[in-house]
Amino acid sequence: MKSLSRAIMALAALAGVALALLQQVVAVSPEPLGGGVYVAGEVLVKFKPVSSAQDRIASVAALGHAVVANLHQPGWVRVRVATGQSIGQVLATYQSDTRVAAAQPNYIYRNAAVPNDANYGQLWAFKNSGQIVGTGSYVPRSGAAGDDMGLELAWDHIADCSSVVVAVIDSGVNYTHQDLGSNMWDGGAGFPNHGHDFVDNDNDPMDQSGHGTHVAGILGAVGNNGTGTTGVCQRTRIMAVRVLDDTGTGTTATTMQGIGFAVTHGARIINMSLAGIGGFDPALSDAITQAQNGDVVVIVAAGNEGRNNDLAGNATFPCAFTQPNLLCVAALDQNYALAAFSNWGPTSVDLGAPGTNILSTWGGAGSNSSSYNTLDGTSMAAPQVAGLATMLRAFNPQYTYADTVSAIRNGGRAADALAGITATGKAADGMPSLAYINPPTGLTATLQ
Amino acid sequence: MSHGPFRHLASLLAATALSACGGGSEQSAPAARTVTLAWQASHESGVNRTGGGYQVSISGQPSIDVPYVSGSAAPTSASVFLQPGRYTVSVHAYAVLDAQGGNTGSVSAPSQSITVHVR
Repeated sequence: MKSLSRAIMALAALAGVALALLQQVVAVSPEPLGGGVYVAGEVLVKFKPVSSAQDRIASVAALGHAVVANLHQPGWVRVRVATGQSIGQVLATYQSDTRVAAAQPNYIYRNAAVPNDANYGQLWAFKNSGQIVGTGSYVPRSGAAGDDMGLELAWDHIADCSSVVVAVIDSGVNYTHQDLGSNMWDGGAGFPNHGHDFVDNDNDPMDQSGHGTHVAGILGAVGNNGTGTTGVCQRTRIMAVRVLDDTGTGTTATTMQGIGFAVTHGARIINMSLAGIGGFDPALSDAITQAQNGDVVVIVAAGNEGRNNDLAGNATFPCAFTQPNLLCVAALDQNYALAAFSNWGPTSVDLGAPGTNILSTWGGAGSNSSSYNTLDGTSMAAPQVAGLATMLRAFNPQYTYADTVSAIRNGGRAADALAGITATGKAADGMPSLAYINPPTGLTATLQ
Repeated sequence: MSHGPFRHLASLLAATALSACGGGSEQSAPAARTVTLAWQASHESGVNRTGGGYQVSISGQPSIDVPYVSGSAAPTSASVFLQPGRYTVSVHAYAVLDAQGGNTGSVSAPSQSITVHVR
């Protein structure tokens, strides 16, 4: 009996050893951090006057932490905590230490996120406060506060997308505009006017209609310069690619050439606020595939016929192409209802974005370097998403087109008006897309 | 009567010996094995900086935290001792930033899970 008991005890001991071994390589998973915006992995601690500098260092070291700075205020030090530790737990530990007078997170302060552009208050797409867009013609001219892309939260983390080139394939861009000039792509000596013109086959893509300039301002007007408007990206590099003439008309050939130019010259995002109803266009499809092979995201407009893009005979292209690097965008009004003119499609249209009463930069006949205009259209919705895509690739430099598309689709905000009539049922949303984390891939296991 | 337990133990030892002789080779209980799990590096900036990392989920086991420590990326592997059995394994990525712009953290959906059979 004693032998059996010893055998059982030995087995239990072995199990204990195995468990201990397991525990050696298993760390406790991290708890969520508390609210507020503060530096991860750091706390600020104020020691009571009775403690010496050596005492403070020893107290901190005893917890596996390190004093990284004396803050030149009596007793205050900046402490780096051990990797993976919960800031909340760390603070509780310090606050229970009788030698400590106070402990807190190292909060983050930033420049005010709200840009100072003169007409920022009219840009309901970025911050919908229920304001009336006085220059708008689409009814309603005001809507529900909060129905917006939430960009003020996102701008707290990134407003400068200048590491990413975004191509506007359109009617050209008024590159001398006061709100665009410093955000234009530098094409070097070969492309001194920030892009190319495939309508006139020269290197001057100056906008002759205004449409492309409006699109460019939505995704990338210079922000926080005290002037006019801001884009989704306050700083960026806009490549002007002219494929539509002064009547807003282009061809398969010019558009293909424009896509090829953008891909070849380093654009990571392409916006094409254009649509055709001529049926499937294999040549243009090939150009979209070329962009996919070049790891370029292509954002396109759903079209303005107010109909289901998925029905046979209704399909507009490039929206109805199925390449995975392409996102097609419907237009929402200020109440986040589908705009009356917007096409939709449970399969072909991915998501929605603001597209009515959109104030932006202007160009073309009669314009000057300080012209602005307020327009409606899915053409205005697409660059909201293109700007977001540019922001995501600037924030995550290793992002592929697939990561970018996934973050936009998954980070979108559910919108009742888009449920069942778009592929995601969502509206583009800045901060959730920025915080979205694509799942890891390529998991393997090897037995030793 | 008091010899009962000893008889049982003797039978057990005899059975073990018989088994050892009859098989022609030594039989031993399967041992715990070290399993190395690896995955592709995340393209997310937040995963590859302080406060980011990965969390490995193994069925029936505590999760394993693989935090970012230093350098350009969080580690992309973890080793664990596992007793013989069949385990379902997946990985989540995490980062500090949340969808409201705060620091309460975000976690990805799980990777595609795999089955690990430790013999």
